[in-house]
Amino acid sequence: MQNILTIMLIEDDQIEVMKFNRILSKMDMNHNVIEANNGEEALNYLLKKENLPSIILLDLNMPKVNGIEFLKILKNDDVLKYIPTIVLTTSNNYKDIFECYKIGIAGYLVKPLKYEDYKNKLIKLLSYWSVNELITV
Amino acid sequence: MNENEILSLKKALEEERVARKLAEQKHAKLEESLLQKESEFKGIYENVNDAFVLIDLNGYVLKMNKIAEQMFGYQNNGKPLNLMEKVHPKDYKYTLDAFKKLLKTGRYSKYRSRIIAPDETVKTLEVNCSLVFDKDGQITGALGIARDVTQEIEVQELLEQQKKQMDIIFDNSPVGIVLSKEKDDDFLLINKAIGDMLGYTMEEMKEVTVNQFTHPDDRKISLRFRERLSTGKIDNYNIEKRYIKKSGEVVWAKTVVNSVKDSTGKVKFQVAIVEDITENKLAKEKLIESENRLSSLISNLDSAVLLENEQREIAIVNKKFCDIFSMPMSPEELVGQDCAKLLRESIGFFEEPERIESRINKLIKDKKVILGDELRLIDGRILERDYIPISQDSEYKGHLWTYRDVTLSRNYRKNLETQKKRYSNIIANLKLGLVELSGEGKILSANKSFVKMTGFEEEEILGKSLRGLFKKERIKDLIQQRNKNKREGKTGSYEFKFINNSNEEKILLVSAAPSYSIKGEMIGSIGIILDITHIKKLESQKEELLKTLEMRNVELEEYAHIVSHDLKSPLRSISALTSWLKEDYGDNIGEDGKKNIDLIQEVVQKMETLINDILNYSSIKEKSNDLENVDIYELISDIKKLIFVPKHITINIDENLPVIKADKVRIQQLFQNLISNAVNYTDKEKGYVNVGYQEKKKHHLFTVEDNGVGIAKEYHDKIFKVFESLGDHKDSTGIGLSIVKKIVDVYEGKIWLESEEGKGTNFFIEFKK
Repeated sequence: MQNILTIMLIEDDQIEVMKFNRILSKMDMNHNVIEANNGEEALNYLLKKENLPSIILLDLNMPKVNGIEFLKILKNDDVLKYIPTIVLTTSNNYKDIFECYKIGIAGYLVKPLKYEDYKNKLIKLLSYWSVNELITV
Repeated sequence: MNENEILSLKKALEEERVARKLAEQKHAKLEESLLQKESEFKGIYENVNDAFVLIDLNGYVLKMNKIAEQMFGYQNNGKPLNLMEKVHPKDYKYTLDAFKKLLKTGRYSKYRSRIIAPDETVKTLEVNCSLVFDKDGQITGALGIARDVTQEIEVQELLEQQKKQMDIIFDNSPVGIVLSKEKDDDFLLINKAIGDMLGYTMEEMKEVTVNQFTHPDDRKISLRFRERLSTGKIDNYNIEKRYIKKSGEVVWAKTVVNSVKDSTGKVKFQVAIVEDITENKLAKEKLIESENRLSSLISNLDSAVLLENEQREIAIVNKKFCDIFSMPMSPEELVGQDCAKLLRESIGFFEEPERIESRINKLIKDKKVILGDELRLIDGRILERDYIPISQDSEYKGHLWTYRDVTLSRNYRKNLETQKKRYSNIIANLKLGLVELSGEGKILSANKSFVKMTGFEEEEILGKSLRGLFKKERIKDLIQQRNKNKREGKTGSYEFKFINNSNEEKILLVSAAPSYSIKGEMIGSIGIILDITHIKKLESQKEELLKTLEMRNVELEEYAHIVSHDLKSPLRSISALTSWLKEDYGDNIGEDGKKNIDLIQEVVQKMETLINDILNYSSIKEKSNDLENVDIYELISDIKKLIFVPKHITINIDENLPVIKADKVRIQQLFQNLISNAVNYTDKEKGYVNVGYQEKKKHHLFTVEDNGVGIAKEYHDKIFKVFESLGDHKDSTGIGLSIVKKIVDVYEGKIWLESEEGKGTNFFIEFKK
């Protein structure tokens, strides 16, 4: 039995959003997606504390509030800090990885260049989280 | 009265005694015959030399001879002469008594009485008288023979007086006088002085002999003189000898002994005059001693000494004088020489000889004490001369010259002054501020730099308290204070920022140390002040710069990441979009279309590798400080798993690969790139990559060897340059070896290769241990 997830995707690149939605639609899974174009937008939504996502997929390189800054704010919030946050990024910069784990993340996925590779990875990720027991905050 | 006079007196005395005796004998005879034959006298009495008087019982003269007449001044005027009238009033009673006695005893001899002579002078008569009886035996009168002994008495009195005088002299004489017989031990007379001198009483003196109280050391010579005198070989001798006192003390005495000989030339007496000269002797010895001391002092003096007498002859000169003026004579030989002459002979030694000569002449003429005249010799020496005229009882007796060679001290002083000048110049112009403080913290001296730092004028700060210059309200920041030990004599230093008198902000580094007097007492302190305003400014600038640089670096790295992300994004999009094209419209574009799409994706892939490599290359910065122990064997094993290794290629890892201190990420990158290259460029059926290790004394030497295509010699340097790719491998960006080289450079290592085309390549990597 797989859970239906409410996924917040924080991504500024529209093609990346398209990629995500395409993979999701191909999977025949009815996960709900909350799209946010940047950290600021995401925070605006989250801070309302209504219909909060099960997991957050976060791109690091974003305008305005970038990924790391967003993460810090999130982890400082007594409620929001419980939402598993997985970083989706092109950066395999060791410093970034280290910094993210230090603040607290539930996963770090480097987006491969090849669409096929990316699709494989993302499917695995979503499958993993859909079999996980999650809490509703 | 000398001994000769005494002797002659003695002689006279003796003669007188003899004469007197004879005279007395003569008297007695005369008296006898007178008494026996009275009548016979009648005729005689007229002719005797003595006065002859016959008186009755009342004193009237019955008969007298001529001499008696003269003696009593009788004038034949018919008037009877009563002798009692002539008697001196003072002797009247005595004469009366004598007469009574005469009447009683019948005779009276040596009756002496004074009479008033006719010339009114007093004469002393010596009278022998006897009673005259008549036939019946009745006393009829008295017969007296009188002699004028006035003169005799006078002589006698004189003699006695003289003897007394002599005794006084003899007894009170400070010199000892000894009169002895022919043998000098038979003392006839000794005076008190000699007894006192020798410590014996007069009685004891009689018992001792000359030899006994002569000092043993002087006995021999003394005896020789005594013998010669006793035997008449000499008449006198004069000797300075020592006597031993009864108490054992030694007395020095000057003894003069004269002999008195009789007419036969035999020694009759010896007269010794002994004078105690102990004190003189001691004084003389002291004088000699002090003279010796003085002369040895002068001769050993470090100053040259020359004493000239009023004739300008050398009286005293010492060795130093001869040394200084290189005299060809000894000091002894110089004594008596004419100074003026000597000067003329040696004037050539001096610089400005004319001036020297006239100066000397002036000094001698003026006769005033002049000290510290400077003389320069032509050989470069400098002398200091004193002139001291000497006078005795305000009479000029000569003068004393002293010379000192002061060349050394003069030059020393000069050097010292030069040094001092030089150092004061240095100190004055030093960039470092220097200030000298008294014990109370008052400024004693300060150099230019210090004055400038304070913003005051030099006159404004001298003598002022240091506290006043650095007022509390003007001190902005006391950075460090280690001043507590100064009182205990230790150095302290502190750094502070303050606003000086010219309203400039200054940061000063102050070091203070106590200063000591020659005796080692702390008398104040010396401050060394370094104006570090500029340095501080530079320092803060540098810090700022570093901060900026660091920020820039971080920014740059961020930038690289962002750029690579931004560059990669379109690639990703292209990749995704082309994939969708193929997925969605694959059937419509045909096989060629699909192939082209695959090609696009390959190019995109390569593009991404390139971007990653550039990012990698640019992120290799300087040596990281947090090195860790990296097990290279483990590291290579990991790489082996990480990279794609085709089946026909084996990777052999030397088990001896060490654990080294390194930045793991970089080291991994290095080996990974080398191994990847080796794997990628293997063209053989059976390929291998050997990773080896050799331990050197100071280095680690790693080798990565393959049997691949090899690299032509001309490319051995080129391959390490960015974007220089030799091969045509699909993953080759031409950056891999550049990254390797950069890492090696950062770790101050070396990389080189041996390669033969077609056979393989061997890379050597050397790191310091």
